[in-house]
Amino acid sequence: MRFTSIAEFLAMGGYAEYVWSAYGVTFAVMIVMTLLALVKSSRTLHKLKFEYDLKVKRQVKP
Amino acid sequence: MNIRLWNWIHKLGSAKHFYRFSSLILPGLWVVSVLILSLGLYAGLMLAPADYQQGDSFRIMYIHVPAAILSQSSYVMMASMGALFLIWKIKLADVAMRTVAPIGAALTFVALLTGAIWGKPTWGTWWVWDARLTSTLILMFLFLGVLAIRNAAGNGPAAGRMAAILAVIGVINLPIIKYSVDWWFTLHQPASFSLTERPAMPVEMWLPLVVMILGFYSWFFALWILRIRTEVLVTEANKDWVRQLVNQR
Repeated sequence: MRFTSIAEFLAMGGYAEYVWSAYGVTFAVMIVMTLLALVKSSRTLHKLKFEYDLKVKRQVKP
Repeated sequence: MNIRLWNWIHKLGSAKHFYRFSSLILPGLWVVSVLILSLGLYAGLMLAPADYQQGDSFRIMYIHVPAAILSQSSYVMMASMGALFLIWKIKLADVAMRTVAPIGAALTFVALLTGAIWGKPTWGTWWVWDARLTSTLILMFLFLGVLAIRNAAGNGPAAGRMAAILAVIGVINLPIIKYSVDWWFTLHQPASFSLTERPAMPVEMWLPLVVMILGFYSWFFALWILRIRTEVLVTEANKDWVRQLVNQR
């Protein structure tokens, strides 16, 4: 283990602002891209379901 | 080659079979990528010793190098999908090409940004017009160019061909990125890893990097597959299998 305390870990040997900003941006990008794709996936399924239901209703009552 | 393997590959080119097959592997792939990335973060941020020259700032390597490798690797995949679409007109290849472009652009952006953040304490500057940095910036513009063509010209086959041609021509940039550090030795260091030689770092330093590269790859494939699946549903919305699948939910 490189660090002996949480404070030392957070300080990153004096490079805290560089290390944490780099990791922060990277994982923010990865998480946001994942969430956007998940939201788009579920929205697409709901939208298709809605459209199919609409077509069925129109066929029943022309 | 084995006829059954060919059949399987051929089926994967059909949107319906791709959708079925990817349903089986996608949940596992998400779990695996979260596990590998957590392990890599723990090893890279806590277990690896500090570098004798760069101190703890070298830990940026564990995200910078995977992002950079994947940005180039995803470009190769995008261009291959473009070639598949141009030669055999496989529709799924066109979908795969346009769904990977934003991921590739984001990864290139991450590689450039983490490189700039790492450059400040190490080189004393955020950015220089070094050959490696400039060719990577061009890589990001190539991804954005493919995206721009799709946004301007839509999702039709003509737009697909234009985007594919740009993607294939842009492959010229990849050997330039790779050899830039040897041809114009300016500021960016040459590769710290190669597949044929033992790394110059101790194992507790390079193993976290290998883990992070694997983690980035599995996350990348999970996200790409998810994006393809969504896009497949939209393009195949008139097909019976999509209707059945949506109504069963």
